[in-house]
Amino acid sequence: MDIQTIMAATVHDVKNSLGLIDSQLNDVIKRLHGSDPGSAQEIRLIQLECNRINNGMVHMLGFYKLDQGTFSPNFSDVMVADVVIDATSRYTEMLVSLGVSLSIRFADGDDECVWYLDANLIEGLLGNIVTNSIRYTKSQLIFDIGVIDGWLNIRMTDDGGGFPNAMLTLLDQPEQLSFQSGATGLGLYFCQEIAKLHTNEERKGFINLSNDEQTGGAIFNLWLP
Amino acid sequence: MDFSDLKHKKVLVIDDFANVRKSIKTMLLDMGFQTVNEAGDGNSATKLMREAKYDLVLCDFNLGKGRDGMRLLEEWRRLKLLAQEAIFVLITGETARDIVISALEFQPDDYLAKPFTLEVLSIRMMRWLERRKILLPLLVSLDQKDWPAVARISRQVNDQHPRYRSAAQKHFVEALIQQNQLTEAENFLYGLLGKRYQCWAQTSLHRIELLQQKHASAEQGLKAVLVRDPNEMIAYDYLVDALQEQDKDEEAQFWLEEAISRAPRNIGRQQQLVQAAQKNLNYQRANQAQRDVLNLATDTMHESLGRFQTYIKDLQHEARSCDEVRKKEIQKEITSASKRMIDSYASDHNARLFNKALQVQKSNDSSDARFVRSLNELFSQSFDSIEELIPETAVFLAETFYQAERFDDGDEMVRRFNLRFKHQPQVVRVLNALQAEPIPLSVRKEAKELNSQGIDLYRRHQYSESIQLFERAITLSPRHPGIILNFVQSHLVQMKIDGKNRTVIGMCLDTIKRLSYLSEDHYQYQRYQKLLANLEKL
Repeated sequence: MDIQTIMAATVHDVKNSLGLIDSQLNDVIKRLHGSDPGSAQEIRLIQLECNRINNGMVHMLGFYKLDQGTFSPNFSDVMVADVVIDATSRYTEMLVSLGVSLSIRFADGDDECVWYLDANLIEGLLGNIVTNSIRYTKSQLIFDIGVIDGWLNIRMTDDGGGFPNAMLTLLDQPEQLSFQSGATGLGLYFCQEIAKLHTNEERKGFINLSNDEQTGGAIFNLWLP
Repeated sequence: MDFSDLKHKKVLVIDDFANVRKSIKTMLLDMGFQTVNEAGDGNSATKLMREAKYDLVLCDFNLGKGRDGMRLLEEWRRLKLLAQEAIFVLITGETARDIVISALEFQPDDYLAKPFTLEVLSIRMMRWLERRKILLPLLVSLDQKDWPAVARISRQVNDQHPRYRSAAQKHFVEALIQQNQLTEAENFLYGLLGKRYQCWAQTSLHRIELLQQKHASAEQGLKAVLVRDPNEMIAYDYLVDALQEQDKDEEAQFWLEEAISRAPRNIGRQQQLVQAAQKNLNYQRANQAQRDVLNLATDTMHESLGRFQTYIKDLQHEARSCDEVRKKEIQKEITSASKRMIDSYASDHNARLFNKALQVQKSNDSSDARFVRSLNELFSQSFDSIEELIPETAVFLAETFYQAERFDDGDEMVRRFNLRFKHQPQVVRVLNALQAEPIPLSVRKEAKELNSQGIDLYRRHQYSESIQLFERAITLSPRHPGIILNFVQSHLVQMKIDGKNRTVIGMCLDTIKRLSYLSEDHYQYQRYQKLLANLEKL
């Protein structure tokens, strides 16, 4: 067996286990919901960590394939709203329980915007960003979708403490990926690679990070040509 | 969201784990469905599909032993067990891309990644039901192949429903192509591509080039598509067509292999690889592909007795021209394949006859009394329940007798089998070809090559040179009507120049008499009669 098969099989097994853990945790949350809401909440955070492990596994396999040149996307015209909704719908219950509101807004009310992209990859990318933001936001996550100068822009804003400085510069200097700060930034780096796979003639997709000048919350921007 | 009409809809949930089925069922009941049935494997699911009409099928990809979700979808479509308005969703925890890409080729209505929550299912459910409502008229027209209607409806969908625009555009182009409105289709595609590159649109343009016989240009374009989007499986198929049209068979095989490495579970393409590799005389690769096909086909509607037999015969062919190491492998593989065949088709007359013939062929020693006895037995058994005989077994039986040099018995078999298969002209053709040339495929190919070189020389009036080539071809293929008649005809012309030669006439008569087996409806019969008469006059 080649290393790619072994990695794919490992990711598959881990995902299966995480799936089982997830559904068992759901059962426990249901039981505790009325009697011990505090514990139910703690368990939700454990679920969130499970999601992060899952993302980590997928990234590892993804990076390997990118490195080997065997990572090939499937592009098609899809409704952007569907992709964003699919990326967020699995967090609905968790967001409600944490008191975080989620809204999706469309520039000029154009909720029927269709774009040429790999729906699976972008769904994964956005899900990844949401998983992280849930940990830091206070009360809201806002998605803004619009087309600006021929680019599709999906922006996610939260009202947490914003990205730390090291994160903000990370995308320009990927060699700064480190284990010392606790957060490696690997997830963001992967998002950047996924965005880059989306091209239109000379233009390539990208992401950028900033902090809201007024609220200080984190702003994540995805740009696809 | 309004799920009030869900209670009248029927759902089937298929997963090999009871607890997964239970958890999905609970979600569905929570959403308002009232009829949710479960199945744990392909057979019980198929049974339920036969008994009732389901509106929604949620099927796990991996169902343990037996058919997977993809094969079930394929089978139910073929058997028309899945109503046009039904929705089939493949549930998968698979991350392996080759499985995902393979599954995509079967075009389920959607995918759902495991694990999923009630919210995820609800949102998707709403989307599936809406999609079905909007696309149903289109699907019905597609099913009826009513192309003008497909074009009309897909245009409407394109204008009114952005979510389905992509599907509508593809159907629109298909409808134009089917109605042979190629220029209209091209213009529409150019319009789309002018806005931005879309893989399917570019691929469709090259498909149109193929239809216009612009093979080289299609080849170039499709290769460029695959550099950008190596997962566009249909582009491989068109590219292979383009290459084969230009007789670039080696390259066609290469691209088939590329496609298969990405989506290894497509049986049709594997089957195409078998043929391509055989055409390139790459028997080992052809047989590997056949083994993959047999494995993929296990317990599916693709499994057949004939497949096993073809595989074994092709292994035998390969064994005639390979090294000793491979020969040993092949012997093992033949034993294992014939055992698998008997295990799967224990009560089938064809399986038993075939294996018996295989045994007889192994002990090919005409001086051995037991061998002769077995052959005699096999001969009489071959005509028991002749109506049940399948073409593969019939051809193999006849081959067995020709190989044992029992030509009269072989001819008798061909005669009776031709009657049995008189409504299957392609089988009759194979039997006739075998009778004409009871020799291996590779040798047949060599003889054919010599024969066509001989014809070339004959056309250039180089008769004595052509005779030499026909003679060599006859040594390889002693009973082939075309070659024998060419040989005789060349001699007759040569004798007009050089004058009569008794020895040559005698030799020609001996040779042409090998064709006494030709029946009156054989396409070479007239020519045979004429040349024979000419010889006899001399």
